Amino acid sequence: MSTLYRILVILVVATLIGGLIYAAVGSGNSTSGLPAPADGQPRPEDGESPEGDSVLPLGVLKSLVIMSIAGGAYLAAGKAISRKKSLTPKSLIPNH
Amino acid sequence: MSKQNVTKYLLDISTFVGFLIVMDPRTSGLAIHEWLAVALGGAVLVHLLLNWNWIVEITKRLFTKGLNGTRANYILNWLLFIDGILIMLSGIMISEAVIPALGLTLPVNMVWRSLHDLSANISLILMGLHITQHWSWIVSTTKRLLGRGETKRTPALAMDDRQVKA
Repeated sequence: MSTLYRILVILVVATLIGGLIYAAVGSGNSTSGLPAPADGQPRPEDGESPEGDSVLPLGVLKSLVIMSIAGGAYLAAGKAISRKKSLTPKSLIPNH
Repeated sequence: MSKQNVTKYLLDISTFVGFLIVMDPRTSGLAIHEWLAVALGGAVLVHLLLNWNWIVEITKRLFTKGLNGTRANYILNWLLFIDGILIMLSGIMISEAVIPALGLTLPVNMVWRSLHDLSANISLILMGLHITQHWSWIVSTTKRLLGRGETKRTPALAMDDRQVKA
């Protein structure tokens, strides 16, 4: 029962956030009024191939690189902040 | 290691692999991209259920002192959740496989396409941060599962055990 309740809470929160996003985008009013393209047709912009046209998973590599850079930057920032905190005023005074 | 921790670990690894495949629709093709994304939505739901106690506990203590790291983690998780909803919603609005398969048609709005690309790119950064936050847990759990477990308990593992008991 509690699991069902938790699922309901997650779905309600997701629906509320999704509704807000939908309302915000809908208020832009740039809808063309055209129906969605039929199944199998390419997207109007630079859409992906319906079958998948790349043998090398370059997108996977790109994703891993971006995630690694984000994680590395986060760790570097965290270390810099902790180093700054550990510096006491005394340590900043040069020895005479 | 508790059964729930093993479940969590396997679910998270599978979700991550699925996420990587979904992020590369040029290789997988649109149909796999869309259906796998729907499945990932279910996996995220289970992920949230398995970490429910942590979510509730931190929500209650969000404004108490000395929780800076945890608070940042909590906010990051919310951003990831909101971004995930944006990806799913914009993906539904520009769907060419799932929505037509359900016999539905939606009006074309080019804003959704742009939002889908933007939110997907943001999700890569947020996912990188999310994984970094839990890196010690991932490494420890992998070692324990492979039988090279450390006897030393990391704070992340201790927290997980508390969740299991709760």
